[in-house]
Amino acid sequence: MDNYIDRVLSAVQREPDTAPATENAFDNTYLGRLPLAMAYVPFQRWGSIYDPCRALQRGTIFPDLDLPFCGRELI
Amino acid sequence: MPRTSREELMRNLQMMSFVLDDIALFLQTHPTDQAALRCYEKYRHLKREAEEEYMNAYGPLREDNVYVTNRWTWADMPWPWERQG
Repeated sequence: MDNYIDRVLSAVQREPDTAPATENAFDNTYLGRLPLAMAYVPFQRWGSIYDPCRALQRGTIFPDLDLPFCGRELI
Repeated sequence: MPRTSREELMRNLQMMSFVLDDIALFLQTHPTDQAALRCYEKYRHLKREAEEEYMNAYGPLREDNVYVTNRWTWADMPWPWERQG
């Protein structure tokens, strides 16, 4: 299966990159190219999982989904 | 070798159950993912082992695990959800 985000990107006409580069690589690579005001839920892919003890502590077995919201940003 | 405590065996069972539940959630949307299916089988086995280990040492986890002889023993031991026994 090819990368979901890449498929979304290939379906989206790419705008010329006129915005200044920022420090945030993810934002640069993906979010900056996507149309505004559209919501995306990338399809999860199987990856590594936590050991059972850590999984129960974190509330998920997936490091990819271990994204506690602290009122400011993703950590 | 000291006997593993009831709390420890219960914790182990809770960990395995949680992992199994989370894999099952993934499988709801990815029913043919072979890696996930293999992982599910692995943890299904580990959960069953954890259950047996608990029950062998500290008695039934559910009412229908009670081995019925001439007496109903479900209430004889601390129930699995009780902290002190």
